[in-house]
Amino acid sequence: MDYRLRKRHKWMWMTLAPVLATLLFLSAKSLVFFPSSENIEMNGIKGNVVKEVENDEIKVVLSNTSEHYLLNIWVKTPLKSTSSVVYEINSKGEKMMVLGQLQGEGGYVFSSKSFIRGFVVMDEIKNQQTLKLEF
Amino acid sequence: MGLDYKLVLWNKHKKRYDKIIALSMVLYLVLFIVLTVLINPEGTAETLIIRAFGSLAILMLHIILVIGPLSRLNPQFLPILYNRRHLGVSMFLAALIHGAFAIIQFHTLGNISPIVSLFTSNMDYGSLTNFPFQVLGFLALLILFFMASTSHDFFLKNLSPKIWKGLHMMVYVAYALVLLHVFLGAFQQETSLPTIGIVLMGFILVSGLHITAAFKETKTDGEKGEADKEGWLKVCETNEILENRAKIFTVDKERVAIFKYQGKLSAIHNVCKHQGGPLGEGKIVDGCVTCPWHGYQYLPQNGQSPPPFTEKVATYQLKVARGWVFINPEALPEGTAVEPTMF
Repeated sequence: MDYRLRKRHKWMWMTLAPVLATLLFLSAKSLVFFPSSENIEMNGIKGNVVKEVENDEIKVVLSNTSEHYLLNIWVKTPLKSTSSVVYEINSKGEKMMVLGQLQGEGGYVFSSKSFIRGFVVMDEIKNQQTLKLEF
Repeated sequence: MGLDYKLVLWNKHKKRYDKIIALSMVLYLVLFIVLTVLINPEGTAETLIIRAFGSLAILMLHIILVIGPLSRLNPQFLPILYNRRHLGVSMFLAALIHGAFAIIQFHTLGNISPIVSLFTSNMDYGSLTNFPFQVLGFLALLILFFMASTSHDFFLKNLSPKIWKGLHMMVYVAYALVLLHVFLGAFQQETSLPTIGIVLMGFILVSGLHITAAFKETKTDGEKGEADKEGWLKVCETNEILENRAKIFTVDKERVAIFKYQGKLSAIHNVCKHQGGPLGEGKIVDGCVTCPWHGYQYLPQNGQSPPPFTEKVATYQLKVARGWVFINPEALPEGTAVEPTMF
Protein backbone atom coordinates (compact mmCIF):
# COMPACT_ATOMS: atom_id res chain seq x y z
CA MET A 1 0.00 0.00 0.00
CA ASP A 2 1.14 3.55 -0.63
CA TYR A 3 0.85 6.34 1.92
CA ARG A 4 -2.59 7.54 0.75
CA LEU A 5 -4.07 4.05 0.88
CA ARG A 6 -2.56 3.39 4.31
CA LYS A 7 -4.05 6.65 5.55
CA ARG A 8 -7.46 5.80 4.08
CA HIS A 9 -7.34 2.36 5.73
CA LYS A 10 -6.46 3.88 9.06
CA TRP A 11 -9.24 6.48 9.05
CA MET A 12 -11.76 3.98 7.79
CA TRP A 13 -11.11 1.71 10.78
CA MET A 14 -10.80 4.60 13.23
CA THR A 15 -14.32 5.59 12.15
CA LEU A 16 -15.83 2.15 11.63
CA ALA A 17 -14.71 0.64 14.95
CA PRO A 18 -16.38 3.16 17.33
CA VAL A 19 -19.50 3.60 15.14
CA LEU A 20 -20.01 -0.15 14.81
CA ALA A 21 -19.22 -0.75 18.49
CA THR A 22 -21.87 1.83 19.45
CA LEU A 23 -24.49 0.31 17.15
CA LEU A 24 -23.71 -3.21 18.37
CA PHE A 25 -23.93 -2.02 21.99
CA LEU A 26 -27.31 -0.38 21.37
CA SER A 27 -28.70 -3.45 19.60
CA ALA A 28 -27.29 -5.84 22.23
CA LYS A 29 -28.82 -3.65 24.93
CA SER A 30 -32.23 -4.00 23.33
CA LEU A 31 -32.06 -7.79 23.16
CA VAL A 32 -34.62 -9.68 25.19
CA PHE A 33 -33.11 -12.67 26.94
CA PHE A 34 -35.99 -15.05 27.45
CA PRO A 35 -35.93 -17.16 30.60
CA SER A 36 -35.34 -20.81 29.89
CA SER A 37 -38.46 -22.74 30.82
CA GLU A 38 -38.31 -25.97 28.88
CA ASN A 39 -38.85 -29.56 29.97
CA ILE A 40 -41.72 -29.14 32.36
CA GLU A 41 -43.79 -32.26 32.80
CA MET A 42 -47.43 -32.41 31.71
CA ASN A 43 -48.49 -33.46 35.19
CA GLY A 44 -46.25 -30.90 36.87
CA ILE A 45 -48.65 -27.99 36.88
CA LYS A 46 -48.15 -25.62 39.78
CA GLY A 47 -51.16 -23.97 41.41
CA ASN A 48 -54.82 -24.29 40.55
CA VAL A 49 -55.94 -24.91 37.00
CA VAL A 50 -57.96 -21.92 35.75
CA LYS A 51 -58.35 -22.69 32.04
CA GLU A 52 -57.32 -25.58 29.80
CA VAL A 53 -57.26 -25.98 26.02
CA GLU A 54 -55.87 -28.93 24.03
CA ASN A 55 -55.68 -30.09 20.44
CA ASP A 56 -53.38 -32.43 18.42
CA GLU A 57 -50.54 -29.90 18.27
CA ILE A 58 -50.61 -28.07 21.57
CA LYS A 59 -51.89 -28.21 25.14
CA VAL A 60 -52.30 -25.01 27.13
CA VAL A 61 -53.11 -24.76 30.83
CA LEU A 62 -53.52 -21.48 32.70
CA SER A 63 -52.99 -21.92 36.43
CA ASN A 64 -52.56 -19.57 39.33
CA THR A 65 -50.58 -19.62 42.53
CA SER A 66 -50.80 -17.15 45.38
CA GLU A 67 -48.32 -14.89 43.56
CA HIS A 68 -48.54 -15.52 39.81
CA TYR A 69 -50.65 -16.68 36.93
CA LEU A 70 -48.78 -19.39 35.05
CA LEU A 71 -49.19 -20.12 31.36
CA ASN A 72 -48.19 -23.76 30.77
CA ILE A 73 -47.69 -24.70 27.12
CA TRP A 74 -46.85 -28.14 25.77
CA VAL A 75 -45.81 -28.20 22.10
CA LYS A 76 -46.62 -31.69 20.81
CA THR A 77 -45.43 -31.46 17.19
CA PRO A 78 -42.37 -29.73 15.66
CA LEU A 79 -42.80 -25.99 15.16
CA LYS A 80 -43.17 -24.93 11.54
CA SER A 81 -41.78 -21.43 11.97
CA THR A 82 -38.16 -20.46 12.60
CA SER A 83 -39.09 -18.02 15.33
CA SER A 84 -41.94 -18.43 17.84
CA VAL A 85 -42.24 -15.63 20.37
CA VAL A 86 -45.16 -15.74 22.81
CA TYR A 87 -46.96 -12.46 23.59
CA GLU A 88 -49.68 -11.86 26.15
CA ILE A 89 -52.79 -10.22 24.67
CA ASN A 90 -55.17 -7.69 26.20
CA SER A 91 -58.97 -7.73 26.29
CA LYS A 92 -59.08 -6.30 22.75
CA GLY A 93 -56.93 -9.16 21.46
CA GLU A 94 -53.92 -6.87 20.89
CA LYS A 95 -50.45 -8.20 21.64
CA MET A 96 -48.87 -6.79 24.77
CA MET A 97 -45.71 -7.88 26.63
CA VAL A 98 -43.43 -10.74 25.64
CA LEU A 99 -43.90 -13.82 27.79
CA GLY A 100 -41.13 -15.92 26.24
CA GLN A 101 -40.08 -18.03 23.32
CA LEU A 102 -40.95 -21.53 22.08
CA GLN A 103 -37.95 -23.39 20.71
CA GLY A 104 -39.42 -26.72 19.71
CA GLU A 105 -41.35 -29.66 21.12
CA GLY A 106 -41.60 -29.76 24.91
CA GLY A 107 -43.14 -28.02 27.86
CA TYR A 108 -42.86 -24.32 28.74
CA VAL A 109 -44.13 -22.21 31.59
CA PHE A 110 -44.43 -18.43 31.53
CA SER A 111 -45.52 -16.33 34.49
CA SER A 112 -47.46 -13.10 34.81
CA LYS A 113 -48.58 -11.14 37.85
CA SER A 114 -52.00 -10.48 36.35
CA PHE A 115 -54.61 -12.69 34.72
CA ILE A 116 -53.54 -13.83 31.26
CA ARG A 117 -56.49 -13.28 28.92
CA GLY A 118 -54.81 -15.10 26.08
CA PHE A 119 -51.67 -15.17 23.98
CA VAL A 120 -50.39 -15.01 20.43
CA VAL A 121 -47.37 -16.78 18.98
CA MET A 122 -45.52 -14.61 16.47
CA ASP A 123 -43.00 -15.60 13.82
CA GLU A 124 -40.80 -12.50 14.22
CA ILE A 125 -38.80 -13.14 11.06
CA LYS A 126 -41.86 -13.31 8.82
CA ASN A 127 -43.71 -10.86 11.10
CA GLN A 128 -46.70 -13.24 11.09
CA GLN A 129 -49.02 -14.52 13.76
CA THR A 130 -48.88 -18.33 13.88
CA LEU A 131 -51.26 -18.97 16.79
CA LYS A 132 -53.80 -17.00 18.82
CA LEU A 133 -55.65 -18.28 21.86
CA GLU A 134 -58.06 -16.36 24.09
CA PHE A 135 -59.29 -17.84 27.34
CA MET B 1 2.19 -12.30 -14.62
CA GLY B 2 0.29 -13.12 -17.74
CA LEU B 3 -0.21 -11.36 -21.05
CA ASP B 4 -3.69 -12.72 -21.60
CA TYR B 5 -6.56 -13.23 -19.20
CA LYS B 6 -7.68 -16.75 -18.45
CA LEU B 7 -10.66 -17.48 -16.24
CA VAL B 8 -8.42 -18.56 -13.38
CA LEU B 9 -4.64 -19.06 -13.45
CA TRP B 10 -3.94 -22.04 -11.24
CA ASN B 11 -0.54 -23.23 -10.17
CA LYS B 12 0.51 -25.94 -7.74
CA HIS B 13 0.29 -23.66 -4.70
CA LYS B 14 -3.06 -22.19 -5.68
CA LYS B 15 -4.52 -25.66 -6.25
CA ARG B 16 -3.32 -26.73 -2.80
CA TYR B 17 -4.72 -23.57 -1.23
CA ASP B 18 -8.05 -24.04 -2.99
CA LYS B 19 -8.27 -27.68 -1.89
CA ILE B 20 -7.70 -26.58 1.72
CA ILE B 21 -10.45 -23.93 1.38
CA ALA B 22 -12.94 -26.42 -0.16
CA LEU B 23 -12.20 -29.15 2.39
CA SER B 24 -12.46 -26.74 5.32
CA MET B 25 -15.80 -25.45 4.06
CA VAL B 26 -17.19 -28.98 3.65
CA LEU B 27 -15.86 -29.97 7.08
CA TYR B 28 -17.51 -26.94 8.72
CA LEU B 29 -20.84 -27.59 6.99
CA VAL B 30 -20.84 -31.27 7.95
CA LEU B 31 -19.97 -30.43 11.56
CA PHE B 32 -22.63 -27.72 11.74
CA ILE B 33 -25.33 -29.96 10.27
CA VAL B 34 -24.48 -32.96 12.45
CA LEU B 35 -24.38 -30.87 15.64
CA THR B 36 -27.62 -29.07 14.77
CA VAL B 37 -29.43 -32.31 13.99
CA LEU B 38 -28.23 -33.77 17.30
CA ILE B 39 -29.10 -30.70 19.38
CA ASN B 40 -32.24 -29.50 17.59
CA PRO B 41 -33.66 -32.30 15.42
CA GLU B 42 -36.93 -30.44 14.80
CA GLY B 43 -35.52 -27.75 12.53
CA THR B 44 -36.38 -27.75 8.84
CA ALA B 45 -33.81 -28.44 6.11
CA GLU B 46 -34.21 -24.87 4.77
CA THR B 47 -33.47 -23.33 8.15
CA LEU B 48 -30.48 -25.62 8.57
CA ILE B 49 -29.06 -24.60 5.17
CA ILE B 50 -29.65 -20.89 5.86
CA ARG B 51 -27.90 -21.08 9.23
CA ALA B 52 -25.04 -23.35 8.12
CA PHE B 53 -24.08 -21.25 5.10
CA GLY B 54 -24.71 -17.94 6.89
CA SER B 55 -22.44 -18.80 9.80
CA LEU B 56 -19.82 -20.22 7.38
CA ALA B 57 -19.80 -16.96 5.38
CA ILE B 58 -19.39 -14.88 8.55
CA LEU B 59 -16.52 -17.08 9.77
CA MET B 60 -14.79 -16.83 6.38
CA LEU B 61 -15.29 -13.05 6.26
CA HIS B 62 -13.55 -12.71 9.62
CA ILE B 63 -10.64 -14.85 8.41
CA ILE B 64 -10.36 -12.77 5.23
CA LEU B 65 -10.36 -9.52 7.18
CA VAL B 66 -7.62 -10.53 9.62
CA ILE B 67 -5.20 -11.76 6.93
CA GLY B 68 -4.28 -8.22 5.77
CA PRO B 69 -3.35 -6.71 9.16
CA LEU B 70 -1.70 -9.96 10.31
CA SER B 71 0.56 -9.84 7.23
CA ARG B 72 1.46 -6.23 7.98
CA LEU B 73 2.24 -7.07 11.60
CA ASN B 74 4.10 -10.29 10.82
CA PRO B 75 5.41 -11.21 7.33
CA GLN B 76 5.06 -14.91 8.19
CA PHE B 77 1.37 -14.57 7.30
CA LEU B 78 2.15 -13.41 3.76
CA PRO B 79 1.66 -16.89 2.19
CA ILE B 80 -2.00 -16.80 3.31
CA LEU B 81 -2.42 -13.42 1.64
CA TYR B 82 -1.25 -14.90 -1.67
CA ASN B 83 -4.63 -16.40 -2.54
CA ARG B 84 -6.97 -14.32 -0.45
CA ARG B 85 -9.11 -13.57 -3.50
CA HIS B 86 -10.04 -17.26 -3.86
CA LEU B 87 -11.09 -17.25 -0.22
CA GLY B 88 -13.17 -14.14 -0.90
CA VAL B 89 -14.99 -15.66 -3.86
CA SER B 90 -15.64 -18.86 -1.86
CA MET B 91 -17.05 -16.76 0.99
CA PHE B 92 -19.33 -14.94 -1.46
CA LEU B 93 -20.67 -18.30 -2.73
CA ALA B 94 -21.50 -19.36 0.85
CA ALA B 95 -23.20 -16.00 1.48
CA LEU B 96 -25.11 -16.31 -1.81
CA ILE B 97 -26.51 -19.73 -0.84
CA HIS B 98 -27.53 -18.30 2.55
CA GLY B 99 -29.19 -15.30 0.92
CA ALA B 100 -30.91 -17.27 -1.85
CA PHE B 101 -32.44 -19.79 0.57
CA ALA B 102 -33.51 -17.02 2.95
CA ILE B 103 -35.28 -15.16 0.13
CA ILE B 104 -36.92 -18.37 -1.09
CA GLN B 105 -38.10 -19.31 2.39
CA PHE B 106 -39.30 -15.90 3.54
CA HIS B 107 -40.25 -13.96 0.42
CA THR B 108 -41.45 -16.22 -2.39
CA LEU B 109 -44.84 -17.26 -1.07
CA GLY B 110 -46.56 -13.92 -1.61
CA ASN B 111 -47.91 -12.36 -4.80
CA ILE B 112 -45.22 -9.67 -5.08
CA SER B 113 -41.64 -9.90 -6.28
CA PRO B 114 -39.36 -11.47 -3.64
CA ILE B 115 -36.98 -8.50 -3.84
CA VAL B 116 -39.84 -6.00 -3.39
CA SER B 117 -41.11 -8.15 -0.53
CA LEU B 118 -37.64 -8.08 1.07
CA PHE B 119 -37.70 -4.28 1.21
CA THR B 120 -41.38 -3.78 2.01
CA SER B 121 -42.56 -6.69 4.16
CA ASN B 122 -41.22 -4.93 7.25
CA MET B 123 -41.03 -1.14 7.10
CA ASP B 124 -40.10 -0.64 10.75
CA TYR B 125 -36.80 1.09 9.90
CA GLY B 126 -36.99 3.28 12.98
CA SER B 127 -36.92 0.38 15.43
CA LEU B 128 -33.84 -1.41 16.72
CA THR B 129 -35.75 -4.42 18.01
CA ASN B 130 -37.79 -4.95 14.86
CA PHE B 131 -35.45 -3.51 12.23
CA PRO B 132 -35.78 -5.12 8.76
CA PHE B 133 -32.40 -6.79 9.13
CA GLN B 134 -32.70 -8.82 5.94
CA VAL B 135 -32.25 -5.61 3.93
CA LEU B 136 -28.81 -5.16 5.54
CA GLY B 137 -27.81 -8.69 4.57
CA PHE B 138 -29.05 -8.12 1.03
CA LEU B 139 -27.01 -4.91 0.67
CA ALA B 140 -23.92 -6.70 2.02
CA LEU B 141 -24.51 -9.50 -0.48
CA LEU B 142 -24.68 -6.96 -3.32
CA ILE B 143 -21.31 -5.51 -2.29
CA LEU B 144 -19.79 -9.00 -2.03
CA PHE B 145 -21.22 -9.89 -5.46
CA PHE B 146 -19.68 -6.76 -6.95
CA MET B 147 -16.33 -7.59 -5.36
CA ALA B 148 -16.36 -11.27 -6.35
CA SER B 149 -17.30 -10.45 -9.94
CA THR B 150 -14.50 -7.87 -10.27
CA SER B 151 -11.88 -9.90 -8.42
CA HIS B 152 -10.18 -11.03 -11.63
CA ASP B 153 -6.99 -9.38 -12.93
CA PHE B 154 -8.91 -8.23 -16.01
CA PHE B 155 -10.81 -5.71 -13.88
CA LEU B 156 -7.72 -4.87 -11.84
CA LYS B 157 -5.89 -3.94 -15.04
CA ASN B 158 -8.77 -2.04 -16.65
CA LEU B 159 -10.00 -0.17 -13.59
CA SER B 160 -6.40 0.65 -12.51
CA PRO B 161 -5.00 -0.75 -9.25
CA LYS B 162 -5.77 2.45 -7.35
CA ILE B 163 -9.49 2.47 -8.23
CA TRP B 164 -9.75 -1.33 -7.90
CA LYS B 165 -8.20 -1.32 -4.43
CA GLY B 166 -10.36 1.61 -3.38
CA LEU B 167 -13.51 -0.17 -4.57
CA HIS B 168 -12.52 -3.41 -2.87
CA MET B 169 -12.21 -1.57 0.43
CA MET B 170 -16.02 -1.68 0.31
CA VAL B 171 -15.56 -5.04 2.04
CA TYR B 172 -15.36 -3.09 5.30
CA VAL B 173 -18.80 -1.61 4.64
CA ALA B 174 -20.07 -5.10 3.82
CA TYR B 175 -18.59 -6.33 7.12
CA ALA B 176 -20.41 -3.60 9.06
CA LEU B 177 -23.68 -4.47 7.30
CA VAL B 178 -23.20 -8.19 8.02
CA LEU B 179 -22.56 -7.58 11.73
CA LEU B 180 -25.66 -5.39 12.02
CA HIS B 181 -27.65 -7.97 10.00
CA VAL B 182 -26.70 -10.58 12.59
CA PHE B 183 -27.25 -8.40 15.64
CA LEU B 184 -30.50 -6.78 14.55
CA GLY B 185 -31.83 -9.95 13.01
CA ALA B 186 -30.92 -13.41 14.10
CA PHE B 187 -30.09 -12.38 17.66
CA GLN B 188 -33.42 -10.63 18.05
CA GLN B 189 -35.19 -13.87 17.26
CA GLU B 190 -33.07 -16.39 19.08
CA THR B 191 -30.99 -14.70 21.72
CA SER B 192 -27.94 -16.72 22.59
CA LEU B 193 -25.21 -15.26 24.79
CA PRO B 194 -22.42 -17.57 23.52
CA THR B 195 -23.18 -16.70 19.88
CA ILE B 196 -23.28 -12.98 20.64
CA GLY B 197 -20.00 -13.38 22.54
CA ILE B 198 -18.30 -15.14 19.61
CA VAL B 199 -19.40 -12.48 17.09
CA LEU B 200 -18.34 -9.67 19.46
CA MET B 201 -14.95 -11.32 19.93
CA GLY B 202 -14.63 -11.52 16.16
CA PHE B 203 -15.40 -7.81 15.83
CA ILE B 204 -12.89 -6.90 18.54
CA LEU B 205 -10.24 -9.08 16.86
CA VAL B 206 -10.81 -7.67 13.36
CA SER B 207 -11.00 -4.00 14.37
CA GLY B 208 -8.19 -4.38 16.94
CA LEU B 209 -5.80 -5.92 14.40
CA HIS B 210 -6.62 -3.31 11.75
CA ILE B 211 -6.11 -0.42 14.16
CA THR B 212 -2.89 -1.92 15.59
CA ALA B 213 -1.47 -2.46 12.08
CA ALA B 214 -2.51 1.06 11.06
CA PHE B 215 -0.70 2.63 14.03
CA LYS B 216 2.39 0.54 13.34
CA GLU B 217 2.39 1.81 9.75
CA THR B 218 1.88 5.42 10.92
CA LYS B 219 4.89 5.08 13.21
CA THR B 220 7.01 3.81 10.31
CA ASP B 221 5.68 6.61 8.06
CA GLY B 222 6.89 9.16 10.59
CA GLU B 223 10.48 7.88 10.66
CA LYS B 224 12.98 10.42 9.37
CA GLY B 225 16.50 9.50 8.33
CA GLU B 226 19.57 11.52 9.18
CA ALA B 227 20.49 13.76 6.23
CA ASP B 228 24.01 14.62 5.01
CA LYS B 229 25.11 18.06 3.71
CA GLU B 230 23.54 17.41 0.30
CA GLY B 231 20.25 16.32 1.81
CA TRP B 232 20.73 12.60 1.10
CA LEU B 233 19.34 10.38 3.84
CA LYS B 234 21.46 7.85 5.71
CA VAL B 235 19.83 4.41 5.39
CA CYS B 236 22.03 1.65 6.81
CA GLU B 237 25.37 -0.07 6.42
CA THR B 238 25.80 -2.09 3.22
CA ASN B 239 26.30 -5.32 5.17
CA GLU B 240 22.86 -4.93 6.79
CA ILE B 241 21.21 -5.87 3.49
CA LEU B 242 21.21 -9.54 2.54
CA GLU B 243 22.16 -10.64 -0.98
CA ASN B 244 19.16 -10.54 -3.39
CA ARG B 245 17.04 -8.99 -0.64
CA ALA B 246 16.06 -5.47 0.30
CA LYS B 247 16.06 -2.98 3.11
CA ILE B 248 12.77 -1.04 3.30
CA PHE B 249 13.29 2.62 4.15
CA THR B 250 10.79 5.47 4.61
CA VAL B 251 11.33 8.54 2.45
CA ASP B 252 8.80 11.35 2.85
CA LYS B 253 6.15 8.91 4.17
CA GLU B 254 6.60 6.57 1.22
CA ARG B 255 8.43 3.25 1.41
CA VAL B 256 11.48 2.59 -0.75
CA ALA B 257 13.05 -0.85 -1.26
CA ILE B 258 16.87 -0.85 -1.52
CA PHE B 259 18.01 -4.10 -3.12
CA LYS B 260 21.49 -5.63 -2.96
CA TYR B 261 22.57 -7.96 -5.76
CA GLN B 262 25.85 -8.96 -7.39
CA GLY B 263 27.83 -6.26 -5.59
CA LYS B 264 25.34 -3.55 -6.59
CA LEU B 265 22.59 -1.54 -4.93
CA SER B 266 19.38 -0.20 -6.52
CA ALA B 267 16.37 1.55 -5.02
CA ILE B 268 12.77 1.41 -6.26
CA HIS B 269 9.38 2.41 -4.85
CA ASN B 270 8.19 -0.35 -2.52
CA VAL B 271 4.62 -0.60 -3.86
CA CYS B 272 3.85 -3.13 -6.59
CA LYS B 273 1.65 -1.80 -9.42
CA HIS B 274 -0.48 -4.94 -9.38
CA GLN B 275 -2.15 -4.89 -5.99
CA GLY B 276 0.13 -2.73 -3.90
CA GLY B 277 2.24 -5.60 -2.60
CA PRO B 278 5.47 -4.78 -0.67
CA LEU B 279 8.26 -5.28 -3.22
CA GLY B 280 10.92 -4.93 -0.53
CA GLU B 281 9.63 -8.08 1.15
CA GLY B 282 10.24 -10.01 -2.06
CA LYS B 283 13.58 -11.04 -3.50
CA ILE B 284 15.53 -10.87 -6.73
CA VAL B 285 14.74 -13.86 -8.95
CA ASP B 286 16.41 -14.19 -12.36
CA GLY B 287 17.69 -10.62 -12.07
CA CYS B 288 14.23 -9.18 -11.36
CA VAL B 289 12.68 -7.86 -8.14
CA THR B 290 9.77 -10.25 -7.58
CA CYS B 291 6.70 -9.18 -5.63
CA PRO B 292 5.96 -11.58 -2.76
CA TRP B 293 2.20 -11.35 -3.30
CA HIS B 294 1.61 -12.40 -6.90
CA GLY B 295 5.04 -12.63 -8.53
CA TYR B 296 4.98 -9.39 -10.56
CA GLN B 297 8.55 -8.51 -11.59
CA TYR B 298 10.60 -5.32 -12.04
CA LEU B 299 14.19 -4.67 -13.11
CA PRO B 300 16.01 -3.14 -10.11
CA GLN B 301 18.01 -0.66 -12.20
CA ASN B 302 15.01 1.06 -13.84
CA GLY B 303 11.84 -0.10 -12.02
CA GLN B 304 10.35 -1.42 -15.27
CA SER B 305 8.74 -4.80 -15.73
CA PRO B 306 10.75 -6.84 -18.24
CA PRO B 307 9.28 -6.69 -21.80
CA PRO B 308 6.59 -7.32 -22.92
CA PHE B 309 5.12 -6.17 -19.60
CA THR B 310 4.57 -2.46 -19.05
CA GLU B 311 4.36 -1.85 -15.29
CA LYS B 312 6.75 0.78 -13.94
CA VAL B 313 7.62 2.06 -10.47
CA ALA B 314 9.61 5.12 -9.34
CA THR B 315 13.35 4.81 -8.83
CA TYR B 316 15.78 6.55 -6.48
CA GLN B 317 19.46 7.48 -6.55
CA LEU B 318 21.83 5.89 -4.07
CA LYS B 319 25.41 6.43 -2.97
CA VAL B 320 27.74 4.61 -0.61
CA ALA B 321 30.16 6.47 1.70
CA ARG B 322 32.39 4.74 4.26
CA GLY B 323 30.23 1.62 4.13
CA TRP B 324 26.99 3.55 4.64
CA VAL B 325 24.15 3.67 2.12
CA PHE B 326 22.60 7.08 1.40
CA ILE B 327 19.47 7.78 -0.65
CA ASN B 328 18.39 10.89 -2.53
CA PRO B 329 14.85 11.52 -1.21
CA GLU B 330 13.67 12.92 -4.55
CA ALA B 331 11.80 10.15 -6.38
CA LEU B 332 12.57 9.89 -10.09
CA PRO B 333 9.73 9.42 -12.61
CA GLU B 334 8.49 5.84 -12.87
CA GLY B 335 10.75 3.67 -14.99
CA THR B 336 13.74 6.06 -14.92
CA ALA B 337 17.00 4.16 -15.31
CA VAL B 338 19.54 4.73 -12.52
CA GLU B 339 23.05 3.34 -12.69
CA PRO B 340 23.31 0.75 -9.86
CA THR B 341 25.62 1.84 -7.04
CA MET B 342 28.69 -0.38 -6.66
CA PHE B 343 30.16 -1.02 -3.24
